[in-house]
Amino acid sequence: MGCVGKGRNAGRTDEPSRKMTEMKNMLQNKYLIFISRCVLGTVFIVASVDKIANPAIFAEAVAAYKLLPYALVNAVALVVPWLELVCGVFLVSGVFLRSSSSVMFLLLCVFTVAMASAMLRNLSIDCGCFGTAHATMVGWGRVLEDIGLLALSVHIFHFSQITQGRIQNNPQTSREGSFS
Amino acid sequence: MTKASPTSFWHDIFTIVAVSVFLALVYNVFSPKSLPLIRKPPVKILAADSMLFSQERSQSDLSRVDSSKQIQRSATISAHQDMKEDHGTVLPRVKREKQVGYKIVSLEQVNRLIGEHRGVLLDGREAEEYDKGHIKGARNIPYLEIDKHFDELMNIPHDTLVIVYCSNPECSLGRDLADFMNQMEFHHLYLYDEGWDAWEKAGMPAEQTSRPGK
Repeated sequence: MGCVGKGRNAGRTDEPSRKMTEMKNMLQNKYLIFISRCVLGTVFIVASVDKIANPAIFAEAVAAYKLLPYALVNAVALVVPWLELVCGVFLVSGVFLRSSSSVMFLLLCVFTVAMASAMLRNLSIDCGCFGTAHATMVGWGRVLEDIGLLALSVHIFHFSQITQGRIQNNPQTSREGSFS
Repeated sequence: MTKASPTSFWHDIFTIVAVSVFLALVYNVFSPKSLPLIRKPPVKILAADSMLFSQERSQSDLSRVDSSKQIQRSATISAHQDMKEDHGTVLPRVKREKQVGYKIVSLEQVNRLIGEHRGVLLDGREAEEYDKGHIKGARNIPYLEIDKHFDELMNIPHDTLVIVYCSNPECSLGRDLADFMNQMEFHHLYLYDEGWDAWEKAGMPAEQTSRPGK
């Protein structure tokens, strides 16, 4: 009886870890990572184009947040859209995946904190997220969007190297989507 | 499983940042819409009472005839600088020599202008903000949806005295609307820079809008 009881307990404790493994397997599916890369990369590329085309308007949006020293606003407004574009292109094309997603993670953290602080300060300002083409006010919806994108960047960062390593070590298992 | 070394990871990040900065600088040099790398604060020109409240003057004379030539000259210079720094190349159609820009009016001046039933008051914030509360008699022209309101602006005679405002000096929607209207060749533009927040705090006449279905 004791053995049976032990067996049952062992089954229960294995259940969460089995689910974890299943979830991990799902997350490291190469197609899912590819979709994450495409979504995040495309969002960043689309967001950067209008800002690059109209730097003065983006600089106004950055200045409106009142977080940066006035003198630095233009430099930031010039460089950030190019960072977005370069990272977006790298991500979509599958180059520098971990470093691109890290830079994106950092950018998204800054955007999220900036927007949350603007909301808390009751600033009624243009979010500057996608330039003037899709101008919208800052809002908690935008903050949530950024958090969603943050999750994608973490997903890519965490699993892209595993996928790369698996492809190099064992192409057969890679195709089957199983890690062990 | 192969692991990228930390050195190459940081090297890649450095590469990404360096490439981006390089591209940004090169693009900025050759772009017709280039920005100065170090930003200078906009010059704010205050509207003098003598300019706003001269009884003999008609509204169309306001910008031309002013006792203070210095104010007019400095306004022109400021507009010129603003154009050069912030919007000079955004809309190249505008002739810079004609550019007068807008001047800043205080709460008292706005209140007096409203009391004298002069000019048009425009709220540049989005409709939701406007509905919650706005200066009494103000019309809503949300700058973020300016395309939808272009005809409305065109129907306002261009020599009308126009006061625009947003929430506070940090909010750029009022400035943006004033700039936009300036490019539409409105001649008598004033920005109430303190905005709705200061107006509400001072307990000045205000009203709310209730829209059906909201």
